[in-house]
Amino acid sequence: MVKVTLKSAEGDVFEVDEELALESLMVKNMIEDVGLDSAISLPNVSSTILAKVIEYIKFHMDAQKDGSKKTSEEIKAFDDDFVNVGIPTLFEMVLASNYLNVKSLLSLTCNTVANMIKTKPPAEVKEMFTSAKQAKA
Amino acid sequence: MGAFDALGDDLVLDILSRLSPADIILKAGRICKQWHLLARSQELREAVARRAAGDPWFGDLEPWLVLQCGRRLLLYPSLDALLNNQGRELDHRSFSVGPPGHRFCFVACSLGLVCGRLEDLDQTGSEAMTLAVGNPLTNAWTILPRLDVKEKPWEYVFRVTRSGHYHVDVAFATLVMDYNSQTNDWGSYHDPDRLMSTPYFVGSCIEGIFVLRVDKRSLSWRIYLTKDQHVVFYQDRHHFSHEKTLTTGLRDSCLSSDPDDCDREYENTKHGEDEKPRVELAGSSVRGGQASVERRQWHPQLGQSMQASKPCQKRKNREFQESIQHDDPEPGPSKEQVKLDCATHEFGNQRKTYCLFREFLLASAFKECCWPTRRWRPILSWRALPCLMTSPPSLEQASSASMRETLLEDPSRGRFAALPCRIQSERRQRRARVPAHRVLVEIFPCIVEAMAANRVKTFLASSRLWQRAYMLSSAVWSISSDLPRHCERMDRSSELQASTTLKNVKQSGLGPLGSSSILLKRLTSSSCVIRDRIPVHMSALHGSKVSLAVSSDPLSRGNWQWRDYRLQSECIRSS
Repeated sequence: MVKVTLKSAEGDVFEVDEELALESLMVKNMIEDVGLDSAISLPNVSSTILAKVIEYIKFHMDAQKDGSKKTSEEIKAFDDDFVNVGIPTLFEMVLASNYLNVKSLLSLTCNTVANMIKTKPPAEVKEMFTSAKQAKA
Repeated sequence: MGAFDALGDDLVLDILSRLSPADIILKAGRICKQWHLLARSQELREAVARRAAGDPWFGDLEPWLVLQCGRRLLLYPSLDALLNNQGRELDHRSFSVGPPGHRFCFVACSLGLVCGRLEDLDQTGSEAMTLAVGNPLTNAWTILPRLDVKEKPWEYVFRVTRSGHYHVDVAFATLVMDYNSQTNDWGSYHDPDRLMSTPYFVGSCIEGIFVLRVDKRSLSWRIYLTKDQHVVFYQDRHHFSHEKTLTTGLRDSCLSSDPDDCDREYENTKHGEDEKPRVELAGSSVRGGQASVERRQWHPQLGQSMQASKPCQKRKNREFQESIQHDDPEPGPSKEQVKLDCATHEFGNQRKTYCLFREFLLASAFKECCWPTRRWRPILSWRALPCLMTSPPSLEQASSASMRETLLEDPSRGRFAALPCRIQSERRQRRARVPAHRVLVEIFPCIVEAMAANRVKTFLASSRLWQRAYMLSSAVWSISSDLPRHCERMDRSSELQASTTLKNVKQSGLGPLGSSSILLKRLTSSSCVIRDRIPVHMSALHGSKVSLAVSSDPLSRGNWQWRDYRLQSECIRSS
């Protein structure tokens, strides 16, 4: 199995299967352009978030494989648990999924943010995002 | 700088487009200034439309309704709000009824689209009328061909099909004029019954619940029950004697009244006569797989129901509540499910009350709803909101058949994004190193025209494949006035490696470019975008040299002239 080396913003190196890396259209384009010889630098993604993204892609790739015993309930439970994070982390995941161009993850994270907005009054939403900003700062 | 600024406009739009229209209007616009602008932006409206088109169950499961009185608009964002009369006044700037610049008189609506007369285009007493159809949320409007009339129409019926086509039927005494959006023309037939027998969604529709039509002049009400393909229709002012059960299987029910009679009786009441309004109730239920439609009338003087198969109970003099209890042992829904509640009918303050029910509401407690029917009229109600009218480029503007096909395909399915591949293929066939944007301009001039009409800019900004094509071809074009914002957004999301430099280049010696300024945006080492309202459509930047495709008439095809200019600091000069 061909491996792809991804380098996070902190310089941490992640070696992943090519099949997994190609789930990101951005990485796929980079591989087409620069090849597999050198590590692909992802300066906009932190190590923590990159690890989470890889975890997400890996789980869903396994779930889609033939013979997978994961039920739709299990997948949904994983997704719910996956986005059950703090707002700053959620924002970073939105940005990372957009940067890496992983559509399913982008859809999941954007839906999560939208659901937050739906269920809260405007004042709370404003407060939520202000606190996210402060936490990020 | 708020936290959302870090996300960028495109991501915020993506998130907002997942909200229901009511949430967008009522919540998103109140978070911060940036959201306020985005909530009103055309981009968001189009994004919502695209998402709704791809997902028939998009948005709230509950309907929402807008009532208009004069210039006031009242929004009921949920069924509960409607039943409890908790409407919220809408800002006209966030909700447009009628094409801008016209005096729009609403006549009918269906599935999120509204139809109305443009009164300012028709002179008083003239024998012509002009109708317009549009989507208030996307603010896209189509003016129908003018219709010659010799008498006042007595009914308008607006029918929208799931495929996105619509019919506008204008019924006269013996003739019905029918507009078909597919043919973009009026036809006629002499069978008014056809209007009533067509199982389309008709009138002001809360899909899956009921259809309500209000005749503005007579204030008479007509009720249609719809559920999938099942329609029950009640017509006629008097006792709903002409109802038609067009199909079976309905589980919804509704209540209506005869406002004309009520008004007349109210007048009598004012003159001291002890008359009370009469209210009629109609409901349908499913028992044992068979639908039954039952009607009730309540008259306070008589104190009993008329034409009722089940007894009704009078509660108060000006109030009543009626229950239909099915006590037969046949299999079917429980008693709770087929119980019908209806509303109070306040009369002294001219408040008339009507109720609507749905299965999930039938078991709930009695609720009052108040629609002040005399002055208020339903403008719009929808569920799968603006699934239509997303401003596709017109056929007239698509010159070649292939381009016509491309432009008219559904953008939400990404077919539009196949265009770059076709451009690449064309370049390979030519076996020449022709810049892709030149290929595009020469082969598909109509796309530039479509952009001139400002119709495809969102595709350019939102399609990732299109962004990829842009990177390949090193050309981006738009006639949009807010191009720099689009470009910045594209730049961020596609993470172009090159640094971005925005230069405002004042026009200098550009001859045919007119007097307006040009914004040049350097995106990559060899690409450039131009923006101007009319004459310039395409450019390329190679070092200090810029190529502009200039056309004296942007709407004429094949009339492009390429001119080279030199970039000198803040100016470009003819080379």
